[in-house]
Amino acid sequence: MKTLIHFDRHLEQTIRYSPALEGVLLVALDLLLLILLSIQGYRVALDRLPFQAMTWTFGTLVLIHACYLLGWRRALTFFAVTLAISFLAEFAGVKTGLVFGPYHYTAVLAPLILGTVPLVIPVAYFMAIWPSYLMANYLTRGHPAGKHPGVPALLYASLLTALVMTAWDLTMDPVMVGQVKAWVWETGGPYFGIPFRNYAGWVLTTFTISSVYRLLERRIPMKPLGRGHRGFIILPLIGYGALCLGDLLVGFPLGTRVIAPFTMGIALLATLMRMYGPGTHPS
Amino acid sequence: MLQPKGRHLPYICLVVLALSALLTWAAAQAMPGAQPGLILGNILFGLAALVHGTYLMGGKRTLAFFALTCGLAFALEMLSISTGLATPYHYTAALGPRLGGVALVVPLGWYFMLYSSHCLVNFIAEGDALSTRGGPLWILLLALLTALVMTAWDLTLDPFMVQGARAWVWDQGGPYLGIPLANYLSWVETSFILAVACRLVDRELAAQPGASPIPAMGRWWSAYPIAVYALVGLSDVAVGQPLATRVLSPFAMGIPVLAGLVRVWQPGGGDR
Repeated sequence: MKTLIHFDRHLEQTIRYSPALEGVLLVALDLLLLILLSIQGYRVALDRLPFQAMTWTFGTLVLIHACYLLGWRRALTFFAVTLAISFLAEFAGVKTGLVFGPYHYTAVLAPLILGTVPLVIPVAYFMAIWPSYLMANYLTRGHPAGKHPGVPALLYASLLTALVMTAWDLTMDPVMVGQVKAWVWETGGPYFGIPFRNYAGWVLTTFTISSVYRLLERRIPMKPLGRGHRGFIILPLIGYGALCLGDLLVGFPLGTRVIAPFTMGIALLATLMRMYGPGTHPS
Repeated sequence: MLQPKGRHLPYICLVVLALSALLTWAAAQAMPGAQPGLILGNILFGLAALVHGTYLMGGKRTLAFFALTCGLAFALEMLSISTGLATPYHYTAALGPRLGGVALVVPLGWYFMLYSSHCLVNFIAEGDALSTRGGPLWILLLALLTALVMTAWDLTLDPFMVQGARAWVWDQGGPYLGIPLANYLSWVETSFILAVACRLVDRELAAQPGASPIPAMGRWWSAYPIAVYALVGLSDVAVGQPLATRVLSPFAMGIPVLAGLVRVWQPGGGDR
């Protein structure tokens, strides 16, 4: 395949890429985003939304996007780290009740691995942590990926990644519990029937995933498969925005609808301003 | 550090404000149902923001910011209470003396929190406490982010003030912990109007030929408003009412704090 050499201002490095592969990946990503946005709909009652189809679509989009931006080795490492740690946390969480508080999954998200954790859950972790990772990178360093900050900076970015990702659960969990009934909090809790420990567990799990990957990342070279322009980088952020918009328009219970604009919305707007604002790189 | 002309003006205003604020506080002592602690908190944070602003951007710009936020906030609150255009609510005696139904310290609360949100957003978006970049569209985006960051506080403030401190009452209740959803739209609108007005006037004043040179202020001191915003968020984690709200501010307020704080110690705000 023909390859070209290009200095990428967004990634701040010289990349070698194949225009044919770049084109195919971009078309695939745009198609997946279109499918995702059309599945979301925003008119169907939430309990009838095809959550599994949405997660698999968004998950595929995010995996291809990560491979494009970081190269195969880094992206698959991130994917593997996320699947492994999230599965372990969820499995231990369901079995012992110590990570997130006592809960169990119902048959709504079947099939369940070992009858415990739905197959789709680790994929959902990756689908949400990828945009959160990009956003935390923009907010802390002003670029999407590729720098190797020191360990304190890496942990700081991981904390922000964990908060940006867990912000989603403030509105997603009440829907999945109260309306979709995909899982059950056995002893209830003060936040719309959810225990506080769930949020501590989410922050801890996602912080661990992000930190482990960011530590490994320093040893793996970044080899993007195409040029990292902003119109491409933004695709998973649109997906994150779609999740925010869904919770604003059809969130359950009614009271949660005011929350997402200030948790996910602030993170998203601040990121977009760092991507496109004056003083950032020209496209 | 300030320019010689009108050097004493901010201090005179400060003394006048401090005296009238203390009078309000004293009057509240004699008022049944008033909570002096809440009132004093608003007064002290308001005064501190005035002092900080005077050092950061000079007396004139600080006074303009103060007058615009207090004036507009007071006018908009009074309008919505007296006309019933917004969802009906009323203040109790908890926040002390009221004028036209609006507790007198409420505009001070708007001032110091909007000032904190303003500086925090400037750090997030431009890496500095003061915004100097971009054109009209950028100013509107900055104001929109300021409005969201400001209203993020109300996700925990309003439930606490209604159920914990009983400082105001929503006459018809509402689905978000007893608060109508429309309240949050009104907050975003009101803070957006205030933020746009402040930013436009501030740019105008900063561009005037006779404008005072901005006095040098240490980078960490210029980030004091971020500390105020973070402190308010942390207090909601500790004492938020009802219990459900305690999980919110680490995300709603914590994300902007982390996004702003990181730029304080990056040279040049992290822009290369």
